[in-house]
Amino acid sequence: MSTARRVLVAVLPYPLACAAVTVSYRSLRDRLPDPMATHIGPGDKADGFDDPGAFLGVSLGVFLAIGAVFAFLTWLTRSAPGQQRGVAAAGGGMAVALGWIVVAIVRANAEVGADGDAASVTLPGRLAAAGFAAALVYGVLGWLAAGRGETPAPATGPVPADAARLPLAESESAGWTRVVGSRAQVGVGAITLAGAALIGFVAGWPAALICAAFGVPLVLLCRVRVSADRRGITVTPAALPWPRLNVPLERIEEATHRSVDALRDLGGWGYRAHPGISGIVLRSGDAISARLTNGSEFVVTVDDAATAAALLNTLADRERSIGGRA
Amino acid sequence: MLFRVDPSSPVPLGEQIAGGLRGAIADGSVRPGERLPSAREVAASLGVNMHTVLRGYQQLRDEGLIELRRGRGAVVTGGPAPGRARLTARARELVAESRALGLSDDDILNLVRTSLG
Repeated sequence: MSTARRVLVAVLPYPLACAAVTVSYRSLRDRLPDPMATHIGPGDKADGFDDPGAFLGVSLGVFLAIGAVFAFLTWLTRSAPGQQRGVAAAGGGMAVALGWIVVAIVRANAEVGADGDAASVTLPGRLAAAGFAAALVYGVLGWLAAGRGETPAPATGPVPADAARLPLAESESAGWTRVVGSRAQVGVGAITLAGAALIGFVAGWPAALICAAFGVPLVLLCRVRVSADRRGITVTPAALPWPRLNVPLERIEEATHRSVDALRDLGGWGYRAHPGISGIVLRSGDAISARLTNGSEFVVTVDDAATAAALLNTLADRERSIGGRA
Repeated sequence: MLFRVDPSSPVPLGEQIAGGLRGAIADGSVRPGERLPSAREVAASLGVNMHTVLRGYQQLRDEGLIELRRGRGAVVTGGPAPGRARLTARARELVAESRALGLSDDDILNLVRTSLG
């Protein structure tokens, strides 16, 4: 069962990180200053202090809480295997980074000694960088370990006879494509980017970079091209060939179109995944709705969804009749 | 927009793609200023060669219905593109019907020239 394996990828490093922190704390307990440095600020200098026992308790508590959150997120995204794989790898990688850095802080405190001044504790930036590198390595390994997941069973039954069809000649091939955009998202993205520029002037580039990291994808992904053809439903950013989301024809039992309310049906905008329903929703309104072989629904809001749905049913008929003959 | 091609038809595939798009521009389902999907995307979607799609796009460019720009792809010409598309479609019908009646190219040109009055 791929969800169980992926939850393991996300969660396993958390008890390991707890164990590593506990072991290093136990073995260095006698050499830690009290209060000890618990946070390293700019210039690699300590700027937060606390009782060593409290630091251990808070660290373990935070690890377990984040581990539980990622276990839940991994379980929650089970209807979107591609997203679930990324969540699991990122969750596990986060444990590696956190565990690495907390152990590094404990060791840096021990170097000062029990009688030393915690304010003189320093932690070289390269140690933190090594922690993130280790997290990245775990992320990649976790991604591979999570696997592609089981391939959902292809549809075998015919598309229901009452579903809409788009008449095609026997040898004719057809493809439908349309761009859909979200004006609200462009606005939010533009404001975020303007904010990033402003923050860049006021607070320096690291903060601006974080702000831009949210704004750039917002602007780039605000218009997507939706295609319905022999490959199923494909969604890509209008301006880029990647990332690409594809639901192949063989996973679609039946396509229809319906009106989707972004907030009520999917709890928001963008790429949404909930148990039983997932999809790309840049606005409310007309949407392609595909009933998938695993029983869940996939929706993409786009104009003229009726044509796309009818074409998908026709192409699915064709594919299944060829499969039946072979 | 819906692209459709039928390999069993005697009409070349590139011309079928151009014809479909011309119709879409004429009836307003593809609007002036709208960007067309790249030839590569259309080719992958239909399972035809990219150069086939490009031939269709180039034909529409020669008719003044779309603009092909490096990097920006194909964009429907602004202004009277729908009217021009309808006119081009009718001109092609005129030629096809005249040829079916056995008229030579000169005959067709003479026919049009006479209609100019």
